[in-house]
Amino acid sequence: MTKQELQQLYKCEILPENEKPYHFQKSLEASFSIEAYNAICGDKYTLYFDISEGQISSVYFYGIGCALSKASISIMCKNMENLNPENIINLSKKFISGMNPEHPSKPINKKIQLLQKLKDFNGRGDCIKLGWEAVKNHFENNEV
Amino acid sequence: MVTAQSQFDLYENANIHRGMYDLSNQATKKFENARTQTARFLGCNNADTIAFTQGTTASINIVAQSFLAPRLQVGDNIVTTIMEHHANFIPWQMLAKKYQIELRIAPMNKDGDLDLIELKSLIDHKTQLLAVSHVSNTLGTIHPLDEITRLAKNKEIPILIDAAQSACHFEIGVDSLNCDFLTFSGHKMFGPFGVGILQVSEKYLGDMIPFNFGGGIIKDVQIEKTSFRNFPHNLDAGTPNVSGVIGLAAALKLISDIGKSDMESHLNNLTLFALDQLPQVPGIEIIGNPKKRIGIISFNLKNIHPHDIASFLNKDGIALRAGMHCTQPLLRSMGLQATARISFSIYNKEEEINKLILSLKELINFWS
Repeated sequence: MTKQELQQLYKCEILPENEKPYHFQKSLEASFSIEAYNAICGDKYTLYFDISEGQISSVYFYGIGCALSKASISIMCKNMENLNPENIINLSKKFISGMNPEHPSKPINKKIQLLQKLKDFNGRGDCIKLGWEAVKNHFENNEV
Repeated sequence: MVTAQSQFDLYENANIHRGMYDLSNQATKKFENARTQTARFLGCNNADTIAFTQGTTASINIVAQSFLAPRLQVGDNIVTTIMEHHANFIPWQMLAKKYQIELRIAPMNKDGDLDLIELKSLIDHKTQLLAVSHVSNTLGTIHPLDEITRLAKNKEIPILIDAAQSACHFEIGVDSLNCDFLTFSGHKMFGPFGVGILQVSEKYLGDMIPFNFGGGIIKDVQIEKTSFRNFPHNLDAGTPNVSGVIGLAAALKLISDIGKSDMESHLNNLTLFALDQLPQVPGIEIIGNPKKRIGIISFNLKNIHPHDIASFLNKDGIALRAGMHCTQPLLRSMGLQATARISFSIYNKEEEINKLILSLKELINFWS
């Protein structure tokens, strides 16, 4: 990815999402919360899930991290609302698999595909996957 | 370094201390010459006080397991500082937990200087080790080694110096410094990855007992019992990294040929120049303002995460490290989550600092 391509992607997609992230606030009344933490760089978010009749009705998040991790979690939160736990696991797996440079990205939607364009952005894959990995691990290992 | 290693790997490859043939004898000679050369590099008269290890982390863990663990008793304490790399922190934390002893952490002041008065107050007759770095890998603070070593010696406490950030460009002189353990890594001084050294004072050579068992370290093996060689030959069971040690020796020669004092002076000039120029970057916060620092400057930019800084500067050919730098306790004590870190070497120039400043200004414009 050239510097110009990187700037373009940041300008059009990452920075707007970083500056006005979706549902970026604490939600202490949420049904449950998940911590997403990258011990290497210190990025740390809490993801707040509300569940109603077997479906995730809302996802909020709050914390500190880089523009990429914040933008990625913001996009993730939007895409996880109104899904059931099984679909959340499938979506997370699909996203994480698509972030593997060895695997072809699977079409999900335009925003997510833009995020996945960054999979060859050396050293930042963990930033982009941070929230997705945390959600996948939680839903796979906990009864929701 | 590359040539020396390649020469060995291609034409002189043989195991050491066990062959009766020319190739092996030659390899042994080169390996032992590297030990002598390392001793000389450190201002040490006794080459048998030098062990080759996998690096600083391995060396510190060897001190923890070989020297310290067998002598710990409930009520003892280990003293270290808030400024340490995890490599000089976690091994002591683990010992403290396992042996129910106290880990005492000396704080620093707001400028990033070690609080020597507090450090002194933490050392008592139950202290079994003082472990401290020479130069902070996050703030670049140079600790006053002479003074700190004196504090330990006045109370007859063994002292370990993590010289990973300093051995390359400081004339340390272990004999005159009178420290008990000193360690550094090859990869921070133009040497190979995965090789380093542990120097142990003559006083404690007999206390370095083997804990990693196998061939190469033994005097005699019977079915009932085994007796071991003395330090440094009792630590490296199995086949050592001969090629890496030969590469390390070549790197030490390179440094000696350039001259450590010239290197120190160059790094000092670059550090001062950068500290003078960086404030012109809008929204920059230089982390810490220690009395003496060298080669390393941590900073943050308002509203731009260090990872994003590093990614964009990478596109301008500038390599910065971003994150917690394996010093989470230090960053937490300063209320920081991460920093971007500039580190200089002998090949860097003032023009590159100017280029860095231009890149940072461009990034700030882009971000806004």
